[in-house]
Amino acid sequence: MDLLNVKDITVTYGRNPRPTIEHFSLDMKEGEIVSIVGESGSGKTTVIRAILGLLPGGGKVDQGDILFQGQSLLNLKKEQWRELRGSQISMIFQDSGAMINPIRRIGDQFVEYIRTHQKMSRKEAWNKGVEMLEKMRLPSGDTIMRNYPFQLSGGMRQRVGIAMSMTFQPKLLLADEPTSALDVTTQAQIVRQFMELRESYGTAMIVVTHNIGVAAYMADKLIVMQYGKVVDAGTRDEVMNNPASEYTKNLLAAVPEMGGKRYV
Amino acid sequence: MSERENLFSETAGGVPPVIMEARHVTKKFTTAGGRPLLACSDVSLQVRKGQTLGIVGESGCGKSSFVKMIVQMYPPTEGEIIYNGKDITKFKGEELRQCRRKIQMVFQDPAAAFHPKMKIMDIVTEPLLNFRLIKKSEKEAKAKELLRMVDLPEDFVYRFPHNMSGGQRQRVGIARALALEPEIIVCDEATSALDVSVQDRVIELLVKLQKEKGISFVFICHDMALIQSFAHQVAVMYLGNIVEVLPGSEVAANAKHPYTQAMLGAIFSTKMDFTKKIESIESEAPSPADVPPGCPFQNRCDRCMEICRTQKPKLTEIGPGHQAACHAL
Amino acid sequence: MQKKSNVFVKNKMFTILLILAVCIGLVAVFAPFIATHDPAAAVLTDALKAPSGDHWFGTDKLGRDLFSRVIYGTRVSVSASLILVACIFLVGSILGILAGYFGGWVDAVIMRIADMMIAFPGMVLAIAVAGILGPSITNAVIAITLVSWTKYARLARSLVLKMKNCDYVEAARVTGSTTIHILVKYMFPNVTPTLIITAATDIGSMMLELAGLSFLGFGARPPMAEWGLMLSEGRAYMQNAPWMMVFPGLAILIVVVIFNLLGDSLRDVLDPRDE
Repeated sequence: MDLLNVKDITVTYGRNPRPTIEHFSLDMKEGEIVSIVGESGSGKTTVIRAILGLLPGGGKVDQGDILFQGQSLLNLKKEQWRELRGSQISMIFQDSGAMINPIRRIGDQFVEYIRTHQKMSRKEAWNKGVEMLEKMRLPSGDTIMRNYPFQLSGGMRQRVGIAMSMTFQPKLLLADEPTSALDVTTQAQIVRQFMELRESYGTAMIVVTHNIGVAAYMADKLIVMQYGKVVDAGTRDEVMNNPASEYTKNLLAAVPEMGGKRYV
Repeated sequence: MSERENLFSETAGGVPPVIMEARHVTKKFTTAGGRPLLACSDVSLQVRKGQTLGIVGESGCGKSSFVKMIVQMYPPTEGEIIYNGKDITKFKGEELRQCRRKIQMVFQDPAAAFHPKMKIMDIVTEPLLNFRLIKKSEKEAKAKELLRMVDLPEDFVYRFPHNMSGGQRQRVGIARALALEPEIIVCDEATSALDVSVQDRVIELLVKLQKEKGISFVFICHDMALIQSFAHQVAVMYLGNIVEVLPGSEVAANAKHPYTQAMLGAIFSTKMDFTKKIESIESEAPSPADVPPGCPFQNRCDRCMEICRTQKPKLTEIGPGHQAACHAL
Repeated sequence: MQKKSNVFVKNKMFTILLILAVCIGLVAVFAPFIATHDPAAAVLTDALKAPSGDHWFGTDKLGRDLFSRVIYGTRVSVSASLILVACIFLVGSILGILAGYFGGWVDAVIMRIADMMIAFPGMVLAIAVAGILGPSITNAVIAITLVSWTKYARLARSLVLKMKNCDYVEAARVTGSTTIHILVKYMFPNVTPTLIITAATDIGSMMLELAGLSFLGFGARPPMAEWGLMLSEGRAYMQNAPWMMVFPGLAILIVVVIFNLLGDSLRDVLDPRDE
């Protein structure tokens, strides 16, 4: 059985008659990484929001179905979502700092997050948090738990975000531009971290990004979107080496390369 | 035309003249906690006529502070910036304002760079009206002319910035910078908020304008692959220091400084071997308020030696047009 | 025009209040046509008459018609309050913008003066200033302006500080805008929406402060028809001629309530965050 099947979904927002995404389909096996690339307005973020049932203001799936381990996600009750999110499916944002309350210590929020999903004492939750942080190669997790978000660098905050989302070893991790706010050397570290997660936990991931290099490096399957439609999809090598659409070809040509095209 | 082109192209043999030179520019800030923060440390760079100087580095490396001194948002703590034989950092009042005519800027975020309640027509002609170079009645015609230069439709002059896409807004930003016919345009991450295909066309536009008008660009960027594709000279900054300067065409093959190499190793390319593990130094840059004595890169460098911990390496010539600051070279 | 009518349709409350406020203005303008008697004409034989068909609101201790005095009082009270708010608005926003934009010693001097003003209870300071300048409605306006500008200055300063380092203000400097140009074209228009909302909600309380000063004898002087002063005059006769206090009091209440509500709904209409 596949881990996730997105079957021909169409998403519209409010009264806007033009769908934000049209006829989007995707099948994922356990441990697989799918990258979705596209420029702004391509609807790539809407895809993962739809999967997690988090479409903002008036967005809804009009057509199609989303199955997670064979079960439809479209008509889940609040209770069922609470059980699923965090423990089965979790999400990482562009800047995890934005997800954490800036005036509370990392530890307080981590402990609270753990205890909403699993019954355990504060002490146990704290230790679990420290353990997760150290697994994400953050030195001295205990100190980080006592820090405020602003005391950490962007890369460290992103690792905290990953640590939190990986606490319950979810089967599926959704990442929305997880490296876009980071410097290049940090970006490489975080990408490596993602790859290690898959190796050690077998986590499947959907990575949404505008950075085609990062997308291609991480992906088993690659999807290219434009104006809400899939213009290219296939294994990484298929899409990178033999793109079907003119759009993908142009996109690949526009990416600056070391020692590649020079404008002057 | 061909003569003009020759004058500004590298192949002409003679290197174009230096029109602006930063000499030993240092900028110190005081943090909220009262600790000193060294944003720029002894930065010396040259801007050549009709060429692009690219400054590349990660966040907090001091590249933005440096260009803010070039456009005279604030003066350096030490050092001078020579333009037309004068130290522009000493300018005040009307002299400063007149000097701004020749040094313009394009901002990073095209959504934030314009007064939200001004029409495009007023935005692009404001610099000209500031210096009384046109009459109010000529505004519309001049605005259309400027939009034509950046390949935007003329009727955009009646629009507001929020009714345009990011790429279109960035073209308006370029049109505004062109209005005063400056000699130098400073671009602060001018394409990093744009999609790649839009970025490609904006860079093409900048290069075209450079060839036509002989403008010099100072272009800050964090994307090494982008900057080396159109900059004549690339300066790599790390924690307030210039660690390497080399021609853009040589970055891919000849970069020598360990930090530059670390950055190059961390680039995800569409043509890379995806099965190979990505290289990257594991640690993160320290805060600019905690720069260690000696070489700023010592804690992350795999070639770190005893001398690096105590003595700061000087920027020295290691090849034609190629300087680096490293004890190991 | 289309857009304007939409604003009124969408904000019924605002429209109603605006119409009421305009009515108050009309009452002030057309006072001579509405008033039944000369507000200054004292007829001692008619002193302290209860409300009747001839004198709708009764008469005061000098036999002056209270209805006419309340109507004429609108002129003084409303115009003085509006002028007062305008003064506070201008003084406060200009000083605040200067402090925020220039920073350094300009900021230090202006804001320390503001701190001093805040350290005193406003009314006490106003009484002191009005006492020194001598009682008159003009001096009352000056006195309250002197103690009330600080709120606007702080607000304007914080807005300017937030905006001063915005890209588009830096862009204006780089393109050679003069400082005056930046202050007038960039800073002032950007602080005004917030300050206007504050000012609109302040009209009511400023009217109360003015009436308060007049009541205490530091504002309008007799025989001027001013509501605060009328309250003060009626105080001695509260037991046997309560109408002397009731009607000016009601007038203050109604006008203050209308302007306060108008200010609140103006906030909903103008709120820059909604854009």
